[in-house]
Amino acid sequence: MYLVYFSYSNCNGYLLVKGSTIWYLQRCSSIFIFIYIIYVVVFIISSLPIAFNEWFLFKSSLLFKLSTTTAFLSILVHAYIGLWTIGTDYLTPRTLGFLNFTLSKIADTSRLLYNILFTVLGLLLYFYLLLLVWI
Amino acid sequence: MLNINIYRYNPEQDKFPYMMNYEIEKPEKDIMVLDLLHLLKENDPSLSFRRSCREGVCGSDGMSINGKNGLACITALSDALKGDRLDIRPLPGLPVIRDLVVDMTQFYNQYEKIKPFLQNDTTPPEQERLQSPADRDKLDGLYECILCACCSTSCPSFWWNPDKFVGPAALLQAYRFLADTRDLEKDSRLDDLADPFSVYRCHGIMNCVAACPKGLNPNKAIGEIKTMLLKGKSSKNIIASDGVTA
Ligand code: SF4
Ligand code: SF4
Ligand code: FES
Repeated sequence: MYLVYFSYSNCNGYLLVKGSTIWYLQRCSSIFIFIYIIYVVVFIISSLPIAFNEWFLFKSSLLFKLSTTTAFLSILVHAYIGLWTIGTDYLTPRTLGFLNFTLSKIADTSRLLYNILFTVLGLLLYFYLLLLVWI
Repeated sequence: MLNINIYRYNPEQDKFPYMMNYEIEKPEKDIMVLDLLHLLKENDPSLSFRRSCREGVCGSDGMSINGKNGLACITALSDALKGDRLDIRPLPGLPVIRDLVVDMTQFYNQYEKIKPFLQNDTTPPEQERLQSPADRDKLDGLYECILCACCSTSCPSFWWNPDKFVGPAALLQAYRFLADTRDLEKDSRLDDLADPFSVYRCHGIMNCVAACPKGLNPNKAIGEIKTMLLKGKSSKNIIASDGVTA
């Protein structure tokens, strides 16, 4: 909830979350994603050529389901922070104003839409993935 | 012949800024870029720039010299020239008042924000608050900053958010007081920097280090501040009665 609120405003919202929290989230999520990739790659390499059975067992294991859920949550968080940073760097009245005065006037609205867009897309993709993994 | 292009803008006359071309005989001796500006100003008194000490101490003649921020007074022409060409522009990202003179308000606002003074409410000793030589050494590489703004105006994070990101120059000074054993407000200083913009907009691009004409390393200081923020609250320094940190 914190992060969601903080994406819609860069004036008051950013005071709610500490820079260090974001820093840790970025690092921890990337480490987890890295470990997850190794876990999957090791499975694939160690069981080449993969038979359907083996793959089926692997993907039905609780470990795989839990780690996939967490890994994609990490990707979601990681991407969210990155995209939020890009938005507050480039979609602002100041930065767009370097290009064009009219653009700078619609900067705040475009940033809001951009934030909503990637939040909604990210969540949709994530729920779709949960369906694939758990059902 | 030298081919010199200088950014010109006089808001009272010009609708838009433009680059003005000057041709001048190459001086026999190697001179500084500031000397060259003075030579040009002899023929064109309308050319405006700031300068004072002409020896790299006051920090007033920071400008973009062939695309690199530096002090005109200590940048040798021979080092700056690309072939025979020299392009001089004001420090990037700050509003231009006229020609090479920029409005430094945003830069100073950030400096003011970090409270660039010692905060210590204990009774001062009779003479002065002493430090051990080792503690004093911690301030080397920090106190020498002359606030020329070459670093902050070469930092993309500062270009985009000069109101929220403190910028390398002021962060170097923030660390100068965080590292000072005589200062007792470390926690409140860190609290003021804890939001996602003030320090964390630094992505370690290191333009600041490349730009600093005094050879300082703001990026390293920023790293130290991040470490302090990540570790959480500091334990307050214990001050012995003689004012020396125990
Ligand atoms: S290291 Fe940080 S402060 Fe220095 S130029 Fe890069 S982003 Fe800016
Ligand atoms: S750190 Fe260096 S470049 Fe930055 S303001 Fe200080 S002296 Fe100038
Ligand atoms: S004139 Fe003072 S630093 Fe260049």
